[in-house]
Amino acid sequence: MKILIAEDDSLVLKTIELLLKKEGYEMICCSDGMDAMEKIQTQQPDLIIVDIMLPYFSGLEIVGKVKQNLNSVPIIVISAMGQQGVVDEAIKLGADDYISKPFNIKAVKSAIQRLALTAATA
Amino acid sequence: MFLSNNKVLLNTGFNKTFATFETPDYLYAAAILFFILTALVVIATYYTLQAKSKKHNFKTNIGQSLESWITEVIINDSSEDVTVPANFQSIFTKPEARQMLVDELVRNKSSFLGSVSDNIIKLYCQLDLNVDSVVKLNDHRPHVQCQGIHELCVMDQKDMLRKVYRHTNSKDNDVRIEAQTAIIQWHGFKGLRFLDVVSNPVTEFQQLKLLELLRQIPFMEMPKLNTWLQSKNDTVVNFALKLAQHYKQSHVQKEAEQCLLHKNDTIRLQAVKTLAVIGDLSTATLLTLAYPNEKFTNRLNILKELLTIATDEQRDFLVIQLHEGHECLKLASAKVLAKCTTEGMEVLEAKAYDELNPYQHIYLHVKSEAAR
Repeated sequence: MKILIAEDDSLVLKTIELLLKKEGYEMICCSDGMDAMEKIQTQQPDLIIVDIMLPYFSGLEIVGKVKQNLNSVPIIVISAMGQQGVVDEAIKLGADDYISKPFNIKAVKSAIQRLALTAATA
Repeated sequence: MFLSNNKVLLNTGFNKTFATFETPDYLYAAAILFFILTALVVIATYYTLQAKSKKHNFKTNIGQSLESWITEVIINDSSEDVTVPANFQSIFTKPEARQMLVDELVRNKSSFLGSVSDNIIKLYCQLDLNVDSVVKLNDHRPHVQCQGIHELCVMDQKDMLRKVYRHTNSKDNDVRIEAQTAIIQWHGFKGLRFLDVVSNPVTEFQQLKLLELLRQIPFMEMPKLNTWLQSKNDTVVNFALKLAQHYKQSHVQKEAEQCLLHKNDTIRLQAVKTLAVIGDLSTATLLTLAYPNEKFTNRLNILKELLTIATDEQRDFLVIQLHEGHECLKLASAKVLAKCTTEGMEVLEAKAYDELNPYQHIYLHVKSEAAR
């Protein structure tokens, strides 16, 4: 399974990348919204994890654009604690799940597994 | 005449002095001095830029490899101690490299929970970075002290409680805020015990920050709340009143009532707000008794709070207020009268017929608000 993750904090990005690689996922990493949009189009990931606060394109813009063009790709948004309003907006735009920072890596893994299962059965 | 003579004298003096400095010897010396000063500025600029560029290069060079190493360490599941790679061992003796490592760990610690977070703390302690943070607590510069407290707080170094605790009453505002925040994050409501002794102000900003922090923590009884309400530090009394209001601590009603007589305006203002939440049936009467001694702002505040607790017992008081003071107070009294007393609206209507100005406006205003 190919997972694209867009996160501007390089250490967080690297940590999640390594943890998910260990689980056997193929990872595509982006540190800003523009890079993420390009890689979504060219590499067509099976699942997208996107931080809400990103340079150039925000997480919300990415969710909106992806759901307009590739509706079937599941998206998980990463939000900081207390950003419930933004998370609600992301869900309205079509995001399938969300993870709040600070996050437990187990929660990330279970969210991915849940969405992967849903995508497989759909 | 006198003035013009003086001007001539001054001009002559200036010209004479200037003529002395116009001699070739002086000009030569001035040129050399100017040259030396320029050279010194150029040299100082060069060395400063050199040092900055060296620091930047150092950070860029080790940044990438340091980040990769940290990532590998913190996702490691094994419980064994971390081995520092040979190339980092010499680097980690440099204070700037150690600070870089601390910064990276602190930043990452705030993003993760669970095993990753535990590993970050483990690495922080194993490399004795906690010792570096403790050293910062004794630095004479407040911003360095703040940094040390913040690092210990994020890294959950609860055994440093004593060292951090003494900063909760620091003379520096920022250090005090950082230390009080750390204590609350570690010990929740129990950590509020610094209020027993704090003699420096707990600022309004800090009060808001602490309340927000406490909101995220499970509530625990505050047995010292009544003592804090009698503190000599006015900001502690104010904060204690806010705590009593937010957590509906009606057992301190008597102490809160005493605060209605406090000499500090802010405390009396907050006491009214608190009593409106934790008070009983007698509170409304108590507020009406305090009303005549209050200033405009707190009078308005009392009327605003009466809106939720007044009954027919306050009817006479409210009718009197309709005739006295500023028009804002009259309007506020009219609102309470209409909302909390039986036939209050009728009283206002009758008043509006008797005396057109300002009572008709007040009546129409209250009526339209009631209709909403």
